[in-house]
Amino acid sequence: MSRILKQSLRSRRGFLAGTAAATGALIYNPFERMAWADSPGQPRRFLSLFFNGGWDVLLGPDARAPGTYDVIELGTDLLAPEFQTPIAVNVGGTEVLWGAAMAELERHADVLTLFRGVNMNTVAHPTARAYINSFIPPSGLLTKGDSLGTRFAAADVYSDLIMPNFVIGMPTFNATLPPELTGVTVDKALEVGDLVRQLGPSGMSQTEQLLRAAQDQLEGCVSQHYAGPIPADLLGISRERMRDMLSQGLEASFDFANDDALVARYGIANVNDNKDPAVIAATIWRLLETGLSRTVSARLQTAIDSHNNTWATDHPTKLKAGFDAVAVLLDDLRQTDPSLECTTVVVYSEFCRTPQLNGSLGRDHHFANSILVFGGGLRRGVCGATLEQTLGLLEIDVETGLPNVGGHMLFPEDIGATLAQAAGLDTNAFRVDPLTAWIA
Amino acid sequence: MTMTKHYRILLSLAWLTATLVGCRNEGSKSTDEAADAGDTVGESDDSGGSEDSEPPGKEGEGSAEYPRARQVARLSADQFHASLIVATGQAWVDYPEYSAALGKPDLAEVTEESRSFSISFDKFAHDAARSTCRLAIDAEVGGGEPVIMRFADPSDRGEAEYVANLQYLLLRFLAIEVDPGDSRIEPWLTLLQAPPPEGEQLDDELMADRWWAVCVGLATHPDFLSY
Repeated sequence: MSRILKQSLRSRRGFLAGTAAATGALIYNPFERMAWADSPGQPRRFLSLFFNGGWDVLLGPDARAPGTYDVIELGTDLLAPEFQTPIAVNVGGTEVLWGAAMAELERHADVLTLFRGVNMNTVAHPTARAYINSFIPPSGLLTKGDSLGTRFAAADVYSDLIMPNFVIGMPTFNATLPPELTGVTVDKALEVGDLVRQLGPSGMSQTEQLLRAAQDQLEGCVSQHYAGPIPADLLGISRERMRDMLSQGLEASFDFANDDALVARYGIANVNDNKDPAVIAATIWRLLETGLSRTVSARLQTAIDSHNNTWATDHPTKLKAGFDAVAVLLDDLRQTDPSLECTTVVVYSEFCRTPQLNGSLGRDHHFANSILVFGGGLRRGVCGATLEQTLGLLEIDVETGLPNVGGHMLFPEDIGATLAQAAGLDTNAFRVDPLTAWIA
Repeated sequence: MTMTKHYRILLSLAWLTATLVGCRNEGSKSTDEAADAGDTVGESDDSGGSEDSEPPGKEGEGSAEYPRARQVARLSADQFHASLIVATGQAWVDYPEYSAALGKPDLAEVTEESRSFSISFDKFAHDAARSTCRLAIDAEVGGGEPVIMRFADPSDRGEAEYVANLQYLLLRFLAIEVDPGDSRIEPWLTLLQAPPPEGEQLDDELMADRWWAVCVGLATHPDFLSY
């Protein structure tokens, strides 16, 4: 048993959490885990990749053929030639159109479940970000429940991991799960390199040992009778992991300047560019490859809130950079898990952009979002749709995923519950039934 | 089991009925409370209802959770850095670069301040403590105003001086007054009194290094990092 787990179990809360987990495992319905029960014995990996700002699905996963529409203004002539023509892609037997910015992802369409026409129920950034953080309707601007990454970090054993739940550039929440699963956060991808090495000065060798021994004997002033989390207990867990991490000499793994192969594979132009999705994706890969984590949530792309004429120039370029990075990351992930049976990659933005161009030749905020799920134990294909002429929301038949008037309106919580069910996790927090027809 | 369930339903119905007819008065006492207080049991309240219909023990029960404002919380990034400056007299020069890693939101793309005692917070808090404590000790060794070693300097080897300075440091960093024999001094006293490494002398440089370690330990103490 790892030292972290032992320490966790020694505390009152750790013991209670462990007991609860063991009890849960005993009473758990084994059939609920069937979706991934057939998978090989690899540990599960979960990636949550966020395009911050609201993406234009017409340039990406919900494109339209060139032409004239009732409401949709494609603005094709404003785009660079390489982004003007959408591509036809077969997703689970259904042919769909994708914006050219997504071309690199076509090679991974065989492991994709594409959710279209997902009703975000808001066009306010903070509310939508709170919503998409947990896939649970928020309380005002506040995220409700656990972040999706936090929830999925609990889907498999994590006692061997230094950072079971790693987060880059996003808020993370842990409302109901053990404190070991609280997300370890850095604001920028390149800070991971600073995280795995000591920045401050060291003391003499013996002094360092004495400091460690003294810290191990410390007790906080908060009584064990206190009902909430006790700082000394929480710090004890983090401190043990920090020491493990710093002792592993991982600096080189995150020093991309000396890693020509990785730089070439991810197409990194500037190894010091914290906002380059390629740098972020390479960092994510290294977090997985080094075994530091198996669950990573990251703000992969930023500055896509294109309300003005930069929509035509910047937006497709930024989408392409983001999708290209996802494609290479999937290449790496599929090296060891070709069908992504033990891997889930969720790619999303907080909402999409309006079908009509505004007076500044940009696009504003719109409800009818798309969410991409690679792997995750889901049935491959397209679930959901938007109105062809208006990019409006449509009700669907949850069995087929096709439009059906009077059917089901797709919300993020439907997808969250479905992913949770496929991973054998409790779905109650989502307060909707999972789309069981979409679980493989 | 069934009887209990029925009893609960009946009690709930009785309570609901009493509430609807207006006999429930927030200020009135339950039968037991009234009896304990020496009041006349069964005496009607102003609304004219019977207190016998109200289930006992309704008030004062519930969750033991503390209100958010009373919960123990981790220092924010800015609070931590400001506290470090007050305690050590030194600012962390890298703070602007790593404040976000300590949880500070940029209020543009991240608006929630992370307050978890995560590995990243602890790691960067250690970096900050190591740097500021080193600056503080170096300044004192160089003849500056004593902040960390106010009641003992690196040339002191006596337990009394160690204890006096540790009492001062615990007050400075953690706001706790301790007696000389207090167990909270012990880990630090052990650190200071450890024999030197084999073949080395317990010289002033080594003692300054140990006072630096005490400073780092206190600046990363759970009581320093929370309120």
